[in-house]
Amino acid sequence: MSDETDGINPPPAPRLTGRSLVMARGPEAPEPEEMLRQMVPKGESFQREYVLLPGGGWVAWVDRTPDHLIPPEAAGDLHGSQVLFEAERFQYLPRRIKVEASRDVAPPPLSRALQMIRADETTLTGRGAVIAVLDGGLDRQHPDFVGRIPDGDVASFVGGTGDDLIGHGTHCAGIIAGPRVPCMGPRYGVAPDARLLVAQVSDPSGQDQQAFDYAVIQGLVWAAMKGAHVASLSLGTPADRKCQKHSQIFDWIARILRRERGMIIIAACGNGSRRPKNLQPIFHPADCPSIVAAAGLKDDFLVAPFSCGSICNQRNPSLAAPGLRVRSSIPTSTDPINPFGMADGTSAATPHVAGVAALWVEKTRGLRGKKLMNLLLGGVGKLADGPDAVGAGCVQAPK
Amino acid sequence: VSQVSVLVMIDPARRDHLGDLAAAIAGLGVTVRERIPELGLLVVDIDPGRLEQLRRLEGVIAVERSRTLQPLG
Repeated sequence: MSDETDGINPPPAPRLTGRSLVMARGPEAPEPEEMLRQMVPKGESFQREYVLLPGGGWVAWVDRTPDHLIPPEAAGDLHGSQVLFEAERFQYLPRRIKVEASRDVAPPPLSRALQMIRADETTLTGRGAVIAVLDGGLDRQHPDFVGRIPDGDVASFVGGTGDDLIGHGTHCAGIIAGPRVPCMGPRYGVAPDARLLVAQVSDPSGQDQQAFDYAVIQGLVWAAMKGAHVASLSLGTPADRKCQKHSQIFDWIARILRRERGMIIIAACGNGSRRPKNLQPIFHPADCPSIVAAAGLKDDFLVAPFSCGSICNQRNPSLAAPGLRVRSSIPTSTDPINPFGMADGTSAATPHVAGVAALWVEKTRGLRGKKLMNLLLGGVGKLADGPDAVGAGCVQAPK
Repeated sequence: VSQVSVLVMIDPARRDHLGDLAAAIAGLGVTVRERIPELGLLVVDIDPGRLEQLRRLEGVIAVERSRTLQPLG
């Protein structure tokens, strides 16, 4: 007979995984970063991810070196709205809670695209800037956006609710104003403190997400009236015929809104090319000279093969921005566990430009219109490709 | 003949009378689908054979086919 007691194993020793789960519930819950910093001794580092809960609050996973424990009361005095668990050890050590946090929290890494535009070299966040995204709407239940966009800043011009059911709009909006600390993964938003206006101009019910141009115009007017500095338009269409002249009406609208309301329009050059053999002209409405036309770049700063360029004596692209394998938010209905995805296209390049424009707005304390456009175009980094492919160069975050 | 949708830009000097102009355009037997008064813009559905008449209407300074845009990513 063995020494073991009746074949019943004793409880296993606590596992020192270093992972904890921290939950704060209710509308009064403090900011997760703020709370986690309060809970951890000064100077200690940690890693964390968190998701926001509907109705207020959040759940955070924190990872630190095992064996660093703090008592439950460390969290108990934080407004009384928190429940704190140690995910891996709660079963065995309910009175001891292991949390990783620091007063010297390292910011999350930046996506490759944000590094390309040097967003890692600026402290600007777009505060004070108003950026409109005209697209298929936004998933306002996404953990990175829940509670951030008031109803008055969302409008549909296609009879919808403003909610994005497909994903293109949420991806574009995320690139402009995804948060400083996303619920998971690297930071992907250029201007996290910019105010986002969401104009739903694409048909939310159709998979092709087509947008009538007059719905786009209505969205532009709404955005301008709401005080937008910039309108970001990742929509377009190829010319009906070869070497077609640009739309006089769209160009006139862009000029009027810039001159009278101080709003600049940034639009995607289009994805019709198959470089180097097949080069297609810039799509409507980015082909209008009064609109800032954004070309797409690969990770190596060369023009993306799909990016349209200047032919038939068209205007050149204005500038370029990352457009290949760009990470951003996608609707939670698409993937509730990991609502993030990669996308290619000048659609992704355009909101990077809009986000950088927001940084310029903050830096200049509200500059608008032509002066803002000139700063944006003057602050680019030079590229190997010519202006017919990438315009003035790669958009860069101001310092 | 199937109708086409067109954007109609109105002379800024006539914008205060957008309603009158819309009525005149409707007199051509077309449907005014949308009005964007802030920009003096109308969206109308029209028989392609009547486009020239529309262009010649007093106060109309540009007429272009309406287009649909697609997501580019």
